[in-house]
Amino acid sequence: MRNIFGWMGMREQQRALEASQQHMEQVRQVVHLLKEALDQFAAGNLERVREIHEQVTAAEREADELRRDLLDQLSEGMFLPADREDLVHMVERTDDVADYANAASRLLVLFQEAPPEELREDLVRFGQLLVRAVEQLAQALDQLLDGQRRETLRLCTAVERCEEEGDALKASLYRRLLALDLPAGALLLLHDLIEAMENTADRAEDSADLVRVLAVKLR
Amino acid sequence: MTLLSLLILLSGVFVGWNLGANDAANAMGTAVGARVRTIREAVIIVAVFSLAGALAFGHRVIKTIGRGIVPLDQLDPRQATLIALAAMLAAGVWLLWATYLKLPVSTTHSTVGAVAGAGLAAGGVPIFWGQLVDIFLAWILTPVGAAIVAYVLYQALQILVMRHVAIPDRIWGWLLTASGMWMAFSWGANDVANATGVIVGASLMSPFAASLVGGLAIVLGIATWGYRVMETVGTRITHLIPPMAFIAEVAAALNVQLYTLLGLPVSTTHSIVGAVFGVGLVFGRAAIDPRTARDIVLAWAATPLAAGFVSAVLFLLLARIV
Repeated sequence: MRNIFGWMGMREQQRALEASQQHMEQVRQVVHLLKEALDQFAAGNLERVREIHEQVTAAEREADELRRDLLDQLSEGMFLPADREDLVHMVERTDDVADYANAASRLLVLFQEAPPEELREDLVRFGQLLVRAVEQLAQALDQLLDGQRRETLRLCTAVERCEEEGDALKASLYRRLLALDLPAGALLLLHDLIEAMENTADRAEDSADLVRVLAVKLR
Repeated sequence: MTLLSLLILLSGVFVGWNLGANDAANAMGTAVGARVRTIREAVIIVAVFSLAGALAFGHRVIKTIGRGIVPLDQLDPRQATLIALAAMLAAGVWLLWATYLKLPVSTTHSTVGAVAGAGLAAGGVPIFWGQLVDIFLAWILTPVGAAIVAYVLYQALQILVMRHVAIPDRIWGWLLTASGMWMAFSWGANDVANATGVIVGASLMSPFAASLVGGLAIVLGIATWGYRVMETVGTRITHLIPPMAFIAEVAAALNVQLYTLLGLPVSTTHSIVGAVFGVGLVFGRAAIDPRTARDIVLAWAATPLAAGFVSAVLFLLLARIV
């Protein structure tokens, strides 16, 4: 379309996608910090976990601000991107990734002692898995901006695989958890932690689904 | 009619079709977006009024493009035909390429650049530089004038009317329809020359017949593709509230109408951009992002030069072949 209004709408779309890329970068940082917190938790360095959690909270707050700016931009312009609803949903789901990662980090702070030996390996693996998911999600958005539709779709599928791996890890963690004789408080906290990590992976998949929708629509 | 004449005609029809397909949404997209007109009604209104504009005033600008830049009617018929063909093919190719790349180029700038480029390449052909300077000044004044008119009109509307009475939505609906009709009329009147100006210059048709053919080509573009663009622009892209859209359209239409009466080909697109910018200023909004504005200016400056270069190359090629 060469129409001037259509062209301006496309430009706004490009600007919004660039802003969502900045937001994604912030979400990436949150998930990387969560992984670091999980590593330290598994190693029993609870003091370090608290320090990292403060960084997670600050990074998550920054992501929230970027999301608000982007939504303002999408709602106040005189020319609006054609696919603004999908963009808004994508940014909201991406922001949920940071929210759940922050929730998981907040739970880590509540532990008074290191996790049982039997759970440590899976917890560390879950952290790595979340980093892999968010890295692939960020790359998918980069590829979308570069107009690389095929590569975008491939990366979105890779995020989906991560989520499936997350489901398997969650099941493995629950099996191990049930085999342990833990106090109710610790059991509850670990359950919530596993749920928060799984939700982080789920939201990354939801976000990837919306990146996929944009990739198809922006052809 | 010779094969070359037929090619000129077909190129002109293509440029007209491209105009109708891409620019019809400028006139009625906002009315569709405000849900005061259906797409079907909007398409019919734009088609009728752009054709009426082309028939009523199209001849004024047609004469400028056909004879005012390069006096095609006074040249050797073979040379005039080749210049006309090179210019129309260049304008058509340039527009096709811009549409493919989704660039906001002006059809007017393409056509004027193409005619001048082919005339220069022909060598020994008189070029009316004074007329070109007038056109160039009009191109600068078009967005600026539209912005000023839109700003003043919107302030006046606010102070004299909107502060005292609440205008019902139904009235805004009719006002938007009326401003869209005028926009379509003035667009058809000024832009039809881009499609068929050189056809008249090469003495292949009378100005009225060229206005009719060009107007019908525009209608064809509206009917075959324009409604899709109108739907997208109206329902998914613009966010102009009715008073904003009404004043932007009135200012843009007034501006284009004035240049049409002076016989000067100007960009309807740039008039609209200027008008929207002017209305946005009243709202205290930066209606147009600086990067977007920079790219519009770059496309503005590059289009006549690029179309002129393509046209010159095509003329030299055609002169060797034909």
